[in-house]
Formats: sequence, C-alpha cells, structure tokens
Amino acid sequence: MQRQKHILVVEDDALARGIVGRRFARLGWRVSEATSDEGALETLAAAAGDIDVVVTERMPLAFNGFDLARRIRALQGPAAATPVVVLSGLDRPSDIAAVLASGANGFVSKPFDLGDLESEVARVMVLRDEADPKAARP
Amino acid sequence: MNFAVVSRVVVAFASANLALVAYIVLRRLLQHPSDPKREACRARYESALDDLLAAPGESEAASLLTYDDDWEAEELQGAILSRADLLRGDSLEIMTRAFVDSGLFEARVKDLGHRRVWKRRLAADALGRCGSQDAVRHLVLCMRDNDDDVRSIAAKGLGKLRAVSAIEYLVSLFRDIADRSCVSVADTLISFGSEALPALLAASGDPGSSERTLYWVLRCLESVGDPTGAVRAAHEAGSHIAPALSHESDRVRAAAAAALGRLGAPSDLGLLRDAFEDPVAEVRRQAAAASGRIAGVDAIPALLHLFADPDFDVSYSSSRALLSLGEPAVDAAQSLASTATGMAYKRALEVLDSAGRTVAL
Amino acid sequence: MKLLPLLQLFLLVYFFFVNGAYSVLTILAFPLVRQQHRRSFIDDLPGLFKSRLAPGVSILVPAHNEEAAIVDSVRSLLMSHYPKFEVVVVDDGSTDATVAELIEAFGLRKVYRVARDEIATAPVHATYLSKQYDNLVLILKERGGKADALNAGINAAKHPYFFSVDADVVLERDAVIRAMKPVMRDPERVVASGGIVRVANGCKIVNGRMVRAGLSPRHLPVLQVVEYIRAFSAGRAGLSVLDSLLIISGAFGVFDTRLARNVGGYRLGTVGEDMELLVRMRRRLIETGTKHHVLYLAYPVAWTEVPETFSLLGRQRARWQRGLCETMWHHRRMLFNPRYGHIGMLAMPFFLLVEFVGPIAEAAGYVLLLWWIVTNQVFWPFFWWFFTLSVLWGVLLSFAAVLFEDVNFTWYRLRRSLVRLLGHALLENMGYRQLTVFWRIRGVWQFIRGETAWGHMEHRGFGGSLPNQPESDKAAG
Repeated sequence: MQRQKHILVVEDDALARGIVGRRFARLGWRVSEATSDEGALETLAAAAGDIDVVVTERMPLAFNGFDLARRIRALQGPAAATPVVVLSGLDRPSDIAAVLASGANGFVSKPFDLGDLESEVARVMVLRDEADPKAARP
Repeated sequence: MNFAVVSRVVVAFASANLALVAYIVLRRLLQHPSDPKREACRARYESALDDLLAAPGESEAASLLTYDDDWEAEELQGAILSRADLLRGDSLEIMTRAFVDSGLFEARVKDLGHRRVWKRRLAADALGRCGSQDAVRHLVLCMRDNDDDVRSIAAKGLGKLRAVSAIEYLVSLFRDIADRSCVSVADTLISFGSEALPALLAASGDPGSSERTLYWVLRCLESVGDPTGAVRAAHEAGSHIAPALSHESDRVRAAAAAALGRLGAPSDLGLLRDAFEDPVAEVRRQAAAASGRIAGVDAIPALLHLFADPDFDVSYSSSRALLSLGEPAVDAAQSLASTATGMAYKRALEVLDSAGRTVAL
Repeated sequence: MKLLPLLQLFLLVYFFFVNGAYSVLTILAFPLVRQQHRRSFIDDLPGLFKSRLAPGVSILVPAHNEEAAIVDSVRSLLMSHYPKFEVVVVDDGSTDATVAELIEAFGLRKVYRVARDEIATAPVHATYLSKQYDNLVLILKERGGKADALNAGINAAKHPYFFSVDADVVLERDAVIRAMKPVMRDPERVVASGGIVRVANGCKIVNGRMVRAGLSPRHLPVLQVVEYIRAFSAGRAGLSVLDSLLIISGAFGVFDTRLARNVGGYRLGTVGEDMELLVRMRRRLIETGTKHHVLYLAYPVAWTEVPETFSLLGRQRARWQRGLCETMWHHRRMLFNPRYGHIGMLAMPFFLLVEFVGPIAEAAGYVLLLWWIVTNQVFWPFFWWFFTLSVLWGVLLSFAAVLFEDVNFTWYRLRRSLVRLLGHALLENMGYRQLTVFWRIRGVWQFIRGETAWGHMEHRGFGGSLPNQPESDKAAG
C-alpha cells in the first residue's frame, strides 16, 4: 500500500499556489500550503519528515542565495533533508547556478509548464531516494 | 451687487451638484450587490480553469467556460490571462484554447480596430498574453497604430510570443515612437537573445540611423543574452559599434561603450582609447567597465590611470573592473598603492582590501 | 461698523477661492487616476521583473536602536520583487544591539570602501558588506538624526534612484516594481515619484503584506481615511497634473540620487524634510533650466498606521504644519517669482494661501462667527453663505473623492464600508476638519516660536517601529 506523497507549496500568490496545488492533488498527493518562509519552516518542522518535497516561488533574487533552502537545511531532524524545487522567474544560467548552489535541488523557470514541474519533482525525489534508501517510502 | 440673484445662482449650482452626487451614490450603492456576484462568477471560472490545468483532457471543466454578459467575459478573460502569464508549454496551450474557444480571441481582434484608444490597448495586451501564435499577425498590424502605447504593448506581446519574424519591425520602431515607449520594445528585443543580434548590429552600424535608434539599439546590445566568445567573434561586433563611439550624443557614446563591453573582442580595446578621455564622466565610466570585461589584463594600465579620475563613479567603476581581472591586476594595484596619492591611492587600497590582502592604512 | 461686512465678504471670498481650487484639482485628478487605474491592468509585472533595462534602486533604511525589528525588516526588504536593487542600512549611532544583530543575521564583514562625501554628514565609521547577500550594505556612523542618516545613505547609494521609506510603512511586495514602472517609462526626466499612502488601521496584514483592506471600527482612523483620499487622490493627483507637486510623502518616495546629492541631500533640523528636499530639487532644476517630471502614483502600494488618539493626531498635524511653514520660509524667494515659472507663481502660492493661510482664515472665520452670534451681530445670510461655502462644499468634495476612489480602486469591497466612508465624509467636514484647523494653528504658532525639534520622539528612534510591524508601539505617532 503506497503511502500518500506529501507536498508543501510555498507561495504567497494564491493564483500560482492554486494551480500547483490542484495539479498535485489530482495526482493523488496530499497538499499543504504556506504563504511565507516562516510558515513553511514551521510546517516542515511540525511534519517531522513527512513532507516529501517543497515547491516554492518565495525566494529573494538568486544573487542573494536561496534563503529558504538554507534555512531548511538548518532545521533539526529529518526535515532538513527535504528536497526543494524552486519555481522562479530568473532565467540567467548564473542565477540558476546560484540557486542550486545554496541548497535547492531542482529548478523550474517561470513561465512554467505543469508537466515540467511534475517531472522535476519526480527527478528530485528519485535522487533523494537514491541518496538515502532508508528514507525512501515504499 | 445683487445678493439675492447671486445667492439663487449659488444655491442652484450647489443643488445641482448635490443631486449629481446623490445620483452617483445611489448608482454605486446599487452596483455593489453585484460584487459578490462577480466574485462568485470569477471563482467559478478560476476553479474550472484550474481543473483543466490539473487534469488536461479528463476534465469536463471546459464546458463551464462560457459567458453571457460583458462583465462575465471580463472575469473570464482576467482569469485566463492571469494564468497564461505564469505558464508555458502544454499548460499555456490549455489556456490559449480556452481563450480561443470561448470567443474572447475573436472579440479582442475586433477591438483592435476600435475607435477608442483604450480598447485597442487592452485588446493588444490581451492578445499578447494569450499565447496564441495566431495573434502574431494581428499584433504586427498594431505596429501601424497611431498610438505609441498600442505599439509598445503590441511589441511586448510579440516578445512573449517569441515572434522572431517581427524583429526587423521592432528595430525600425525606435525611429518613430517616443522615448518612453522604447523601453518595452527594447525589452522585447533583448528577450529574443542572440536571434536579434544581426538586426541590432546592422542598425548600430548603419550611418543613417537616428540618434534615438542608435541609443536604444545599443542599450539592447548591452543586455542581449549571455553571448559566448564564439558568438562575439562571429558577429564582429566591434566594427559595427565603433562608429557610435564617436557620435556627438553623450548617451550614444556611453551606450556604445557599454555595448562593446558586452560584445567586443579583446582586440577592440583600442577603440575605447578615446572614450577613456571623454569629457563626459558617464562615457568614461562605461569605458572603464567595458575594458575590464573584454580586454583582460591588457586593460590594467588604462584602468589604473582612471583611478585618479576626478569623478567618483569613474574611479569606482575602474576599481571594480580591475578587481575582476585577478592576481596580476591586484599586484599592479599593490605597486600603485606604494606610489600614488589621493583618490588613486584610496582606490588601490580598496582593490587590495576586496582581494583579501592586508591593507596598511 | 463698516469693518463687519468687509470682513464677512473677505471670509466668504476666501472660502470660495479655497474650495474652488480644490474642486479644480479634483476635476483635474479624475482623468489621471482613471488612466493609472486602467494602466494597472496592463502592467506586465512579471515581464518588468525580467527587464534588463530597469534602473537600479537603492532602498535606504536609517536605523537607530531598532534591535528588536531590524533583522526582520531588512530581510523583508531584501525580498523586494525587483530585478536591480540594494538595501543600504545606515546605523545612526545605535547604542543597542542593532549592529550586532545585523552582522550576525546576514554574515556582514567589515570592508574598506572609499566613502563618497558629497553631502556633509556626521562621520562615517565603517562599511560592512554581506557574504551571503551581495546587495546589502551597512554603514555605521555617528549619531546625527534621521535626515543625516538618510544623507549618508544617499552618499553611499550606488543606483540612480533611491527609495526612502518611513519606519512604520507596510509595503506591498510589488511596491518597488510598481513605483518604478512609470519611472522606467521616462527615465531621463523623472526626478521624483511618490504615491498615495493608505491607512492600514483595520486592515489585515500578514507577514508584511496587505491581505485584506478594511476600515477600523474606531472613528478617528476612518476620518483620516477620508481625509487621505481627498488630500491624495484629489489634492496631490490634481497638483501633479499641473506639474505642481511639492510634497512626496516621507512615508514612501523615489528620488533621483544624483540630483539629491547635487542639492545637498535632506536638510537637517527641519521637520518637513521630505517636502523641503523636493522643493529644493525642483528649485535647482528650474534654475538650471532642466525639464523634469515629478510623478504621482495613484495605485496604492504603501500603507501606514495612523494615530488613533486625539493627542497623537494633534501632535502629528502640528508637526506637519510646522514643516510646511519651515519649507515655505526657506524658499520664500520662489513665491510669486516669475523666474520659477508655474512653481513660483502657482504651486507655492497655492500652498501658501490654501495650506498655510487656510487654517488661519478658517479659524478666524469660526471665531468671528461665534463672536457675532454671541453679540447678536450675525448677518444671517452671511451665516448660510459661510456654511454653504465652507462646510457643504467640503462635503461635496469629500464625497466626490471617496466615490471616485471607490470606483477605481475598490479596496473596501463591502457596501457597508462605502456607506461608512461616506458617513465619515460628512463628519469630516462637520467637526473633524475644524479640529485639525486648531492643531494646525498650533503648528504655525510653534513655527513662529522657533521649535524645530521632534520633541520626545528622538529618544525612541525613528518612530519606534520598522516596516511590517504594524502591531508595535505607535507612541511616536
């Protein structure tokens, strides 16, 4: 029996949050939402590793480093290893590299295609499972 | 002065005004009940659209995307376009189909010929965002509109639709439209990336180009894509940009220096020689930044010389540019620090500090 | 007594003139606000965000003893949705842990940077840059006051425009990009831009973002909502159409960095420093014959908490009036001086006659009226005229402003809210405005007596709270 996958969507714009959330709900995921970095961190900490992936648009410009990813990695417990996919309007290779360098696992640029987002999430989760088979859910 | 007559006039005027206000108030208050109705309608459309996006092909939601009244059409259009702005690929295709199938596309095309300019602007905007390639030819026709805003909105739309066929048109627009509308056109050209390079370089090298065209074309060239060395060499940008470096307009010379910094080859450093001595500070500043980018260590002497420039921004840009050139540049700054005075000395220290070398103040 | 009818006539003419002027401004404002409102539909904000041509913006944050909120505030500003900006924090000689908090939170490191000293300020001790955020700068300087700290920020700013944001203002996430959009359309000429500041009392603010606009249940804030709508939407919008804008609200404004440096930055020792700077900037541009624009932004992006008690409100209004007087006095040479074009002949006289003389004349009117009623000398037609021209006309203007604002920017979505606003528009002209007249007279009196300090507020730093902290102590008013 497959455990239901759980996604956390961090996005303060209700529109994008709705689109992404609805899609993943249709795919059978459990969807949690957060509208701020603080909210996201709280939810992650409370869920204690239950959340499989974080999709977020909330980030400062890449040349600042990806603040949220850094803060997630600084959490205690299993939540710190949660894969993070960034959805962002940045398109310069240098910016994307900076985002990935500061802790994000995946990147989808805006405007985005929901199919692409799905694939990126899947890719990131496969990598996570490979890295840590114990954490892999059946 | 006949108080009675005047006071009657004033009373009449005041009453008329109050009547007008009362009328507006009543109308407004009566309209308000429809706000919840509008919101409910909008929510229905949004829900249907999100369903379509979540499960393309499976959903029955498409049948809900119809409208009877104008205000419903407005809500539907708003819901579709705000999603279209975020999406591309298959997801965008879903929104485009909704836009077309519901009749909104046709309606907006019709509006492009409307008498009232705001209708045309909004129509151009909607067509530009809807994601349909069929909109391209309509937007190109918008270029002939009398209104600058319609043209620049259409230009933006063409950028979004990646209509590379319109690049020449867009470059030619700089000549005709006012400065303030040029920004969107320039942004669009920049978004096309290296595909726009040939047309832009041709325009910059064309002696017949107006001052405004030159300025904006060079601004585009400064920002276009992230060209690799191969692209730079292939286009030989230097020869196209060189004439602009001696243009009579300050802003053109400055933009030319900046563009050269982006697209020039190391051998183009000589072209900047005059720019280093330019009477206008902004030109010198751009030349400093540019030389650091294209010429590598060959630029070091020129940059060190600019450390002593009377303009703060010029010496600052030189300092930043020098820093990007690595160890040999920092060494050069170190030797300068031992002999220089004033601003040049301070800039040298600044470079050393940023490079992590201990600074003895 | 011949004086009586003459005085009465004078007062009536004065009110006719003042309300007439406001009516003209209101009528002029309508197309501008409508235009901007429509434009907001086609504002391509995501496209703007990607624009390579967006001019850079330096966001200045003067700080003094703000250890409790500074980190959150700066972090929130760092997340501004704009492609090219920096945050310049100027520590104005804080004696608490402000600097330490910042250094720790953002990985700041002391660097050697050549300081630009175009504007004379209290000595700058050090410059810090962040390892993690390459658009964050911290300047440490000796105490000099808010204007002095802002000047140090202007010196250090590297972008062509700077943003000055008051401590207690809540900005929309898109505030910077919306404010810069009209500037981007005309970068060669725009030297300053400011917009309407809306009242945050009663609104739901989550994590520094306006979630739902609402009206406070208390009367005083709602009266101020009406007042702000009239003053901004009609007053300032109208003035900007006439190219006569002389105040960019200190709460939220964009200025040309280079120009600000050229004119010497903010003036110290005056309470209306934002107005004074703008007037000085315009003066310089007129003197050098440079064409320029000062824009008014009708789309609301900044929200601020307004005083909820009479005493705080009174102090605020006295202070504003004092600032106005100081600025007018400093630049009195521009008044009725044809050399300064329409600024000297239209804008300054308008401020003088309407904003400065206004409260005095109005107060005189009420006092005289009362005296005449008491001594049974009142000429009843005069009384009705006075009532019509001052009160009823004012009600009309307030109604018009509120309705127009509602038509364009329906922030207060409930019908109930609109009714409340209109009701308060009535109240505003029958009691509230008269009260502000009293406070403004006090401000003029303070100016004449030469008080220039901010009073007890200095001890509390710049307002005692920082952006996105609407719940914090509002004692500084």
